[in-house]
Amino acid sequence: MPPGDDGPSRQGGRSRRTSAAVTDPSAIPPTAPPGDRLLVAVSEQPGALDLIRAARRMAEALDAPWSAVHIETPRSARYSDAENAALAEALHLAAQLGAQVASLPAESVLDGLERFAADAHATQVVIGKSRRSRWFELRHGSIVDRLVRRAPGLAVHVLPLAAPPRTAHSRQAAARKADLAARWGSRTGYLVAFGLTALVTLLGTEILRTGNISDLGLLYLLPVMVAATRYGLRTGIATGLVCSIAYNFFFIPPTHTLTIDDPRNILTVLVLLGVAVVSSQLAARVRAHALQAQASAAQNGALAGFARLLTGIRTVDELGRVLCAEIGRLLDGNAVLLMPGEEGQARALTRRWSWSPESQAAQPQLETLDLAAANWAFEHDAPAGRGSDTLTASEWLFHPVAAGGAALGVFGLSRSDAREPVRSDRLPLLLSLLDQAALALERIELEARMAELSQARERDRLRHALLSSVSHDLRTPLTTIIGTLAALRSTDAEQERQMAAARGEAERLHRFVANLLDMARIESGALQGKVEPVDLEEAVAEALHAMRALLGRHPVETAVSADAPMVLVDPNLFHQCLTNLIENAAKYGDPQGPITVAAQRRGGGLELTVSDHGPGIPAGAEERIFETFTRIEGSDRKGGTGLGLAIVRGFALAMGLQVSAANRTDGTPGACFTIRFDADHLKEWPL
Amino acid sequence: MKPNVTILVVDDEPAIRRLLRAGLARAGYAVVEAANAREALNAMAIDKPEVVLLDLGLPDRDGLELIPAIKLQAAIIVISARDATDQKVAALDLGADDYVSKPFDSDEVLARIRTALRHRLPAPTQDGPVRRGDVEIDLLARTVRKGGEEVHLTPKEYGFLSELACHPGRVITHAQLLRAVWGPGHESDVEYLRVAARGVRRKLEDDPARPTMLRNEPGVGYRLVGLE
Repeated sequence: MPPGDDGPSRQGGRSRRTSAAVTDPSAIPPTAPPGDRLLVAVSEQPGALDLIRAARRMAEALDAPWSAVHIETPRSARYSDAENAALAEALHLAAQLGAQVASLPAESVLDGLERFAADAHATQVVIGKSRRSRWFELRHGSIVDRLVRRAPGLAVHVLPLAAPPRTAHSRQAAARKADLAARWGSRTGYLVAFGLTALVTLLGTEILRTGNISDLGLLYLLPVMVAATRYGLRTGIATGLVCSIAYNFFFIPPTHTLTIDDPRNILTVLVLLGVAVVSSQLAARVRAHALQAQASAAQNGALAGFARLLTGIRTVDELGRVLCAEIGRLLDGNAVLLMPGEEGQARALTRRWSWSPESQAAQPQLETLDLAAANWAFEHDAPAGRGSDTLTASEWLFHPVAAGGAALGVFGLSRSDAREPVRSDRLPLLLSLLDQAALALERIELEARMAELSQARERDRLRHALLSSVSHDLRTPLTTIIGTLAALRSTDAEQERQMAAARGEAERLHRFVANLLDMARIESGALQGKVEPVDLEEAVAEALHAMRALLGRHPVETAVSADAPMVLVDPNLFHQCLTNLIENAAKYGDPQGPITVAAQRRGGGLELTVSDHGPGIPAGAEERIFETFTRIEGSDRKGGTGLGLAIVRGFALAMGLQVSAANRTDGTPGACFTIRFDADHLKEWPL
Repeated sequence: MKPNVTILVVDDEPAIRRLLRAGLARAGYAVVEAANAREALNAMAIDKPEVVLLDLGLPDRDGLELIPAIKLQAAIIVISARDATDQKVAALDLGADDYVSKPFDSDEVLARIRTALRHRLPAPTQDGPVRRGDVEIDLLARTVRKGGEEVHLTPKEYGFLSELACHPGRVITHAQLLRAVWGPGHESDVEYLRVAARGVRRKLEDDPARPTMLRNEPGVGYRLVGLE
């Protein structure tokens, strides 16, 4: 493995995912921007993974998009399981590394590569050169040489592929042997072909009897072509031989012997054999193509149908059911999708959907071993279970469903007849389906987040509308009421008292509205304070001045120490904090007991305290007292709004200050509120 | 008493206009009303008011835009919400004379109007010393006395005090004070003001912890109150 490359096969974490188009080169826009585009030809050969990594490094160096393409030739249909798996793995790796992946059916690798390169506007092609024998190359020619010759303007990079390991070789040889047996053709083929030959011979004898017609040999083309096109090369050649013998024996003078007098008739025999060879080759090719096209059309159809299905899905639950049913049906096995539960359950795979071809109701059973494989696959973002490299004792094969480099869940497949869960040539299909499912999952998640966002925005809009309505429609009439009541004078003492009471209540209502607005500002997080150096002595004096009407004759002491520095706060928010604390002390404190506002240095910071004489704060309520609409028990008659202290804390937090409540520590009963400024919020007086 | 003083009330709320009209008429002023900026500008041309009570939230234009257009013709007192500090400061820096916060008190409004009118009068008040209790500020001699004794102020403290004393009763914004005393370029050095204010308070107030003369308007500016 080249240095600097990590992991054996699946680098989930760093990969950028692209959707995998299986056979369509036009998926790459034909009007690709000018610049390099790299193309790597992926084969089933063992060195393909290294080839893909090398291609990616080149693409990164060129800063160019890249595609990995596999050309499906007629030979692809005869891949062994191992070769199929290697191919699937290679294509999957390419997709994980950010390549656009495609499979293209073509007559030959060269044709396909050339066509794809033209369609995708590729400028660089990377191909691997396998260490095949010279004999193989003489027979088949080297793809590299031909590609260079046929595609001028295309930079072709050739990388030597690693030699195939022995075991794989012997397996390949065995596979080829089985293949060879298949190529000899079926017995039915021979029977039909020979029957036809006999029929044609009979027919020929009959025709000969009616008159002397030469070139009866043409008649024998029929069985040869039928045999060659329908039953393959060898049956065709055998039929050709039999036909020429029959023709020779029955029709070529001297008849009923196998000797040939006329050299023209030798030609006939040769033509028959030639026709057999050519037509069987043609037919075989056409048949292979048709099969391939059928297979890829089915695969494409499955993918397209699946993609269509997925676009309509709105919830994860629905996706789970559809995914299991579709893949289970397509691959004819038991399917299960495991996903982690909602937050808080520490990524345990608790949500499960399943599908089984035998019955809809029966849940496929997952043993401990299977669950272990599923968890492994989920945690490592790599396949596990039967047919993979890990935990192969499980009946199930688990593949992660990953998007954006993180596994969202695992998908498991098994078969009730205990065969391999996935046929190796179906593996690319499975991986593509899972990629699509992952994208759909991601989409659903995003949609949910979007919906949440727009809901939040709507809530904000409503709140804003409500606030401005409250601000305007409540405050304006209150201003009028307060102003009018203030202007009214009466000579009647009782009426004067009533008006004063009405005005007091109106003012209280106004304060409440103002508090509500302040609270709303805190909750919306819309407090952008400006920071100014503020003289504490001045600020306290101003707050007391503002509360003079409410304080009345309530005694107040101020004790801001002479060395108290300036504080860095928003002057208005701080003013509100002070007035609310003083108001609170005036309301809940004993009217005779003085309210003390003091400030002194404490440690590196400063503490400002507002303390009263009174019942103090019930034990355990020191935090609760700052909550919205909290009032100390039994104090409702005081006419508080339950918002004052919550506003103090909200404003203080917005300025970066700490507020706390406690009872007085000097032995007398009463509450003491402290605003703490740390060193960052202090500014010393200049000397 | 003041038959020749006309006050223009600009507010889009009829109830507020009615309330102000009642209070002002009782105090002897002639009152003109306008519900929006267009009507306000018309009234400026026709009725030539001496004082404008201006609500900044107008339906057709931002009230702030009106201030530069009318500040030369009349004293402007802005009516604004309690928490709209930035708006108050902007209005004052644009040339408004003062502000009152909603909900306002008629007496407060009348006091502000009287202060604003005093500054509009041709005869300046700077000639004689201004007094408050035992404090006497002589702007011509540039001296400050308390209880007959001359008080020594630093140049910046005196500059700060005299700037306020030139406009007794009127709020002067931080930026205006800083520009006048420390010069342009120091408009945001609020710290200088705090130092000067503290010095003035300590030297002139009977109880610096309960100032009665030098009022601080949080986030807006300072004003000297109770001067004669």
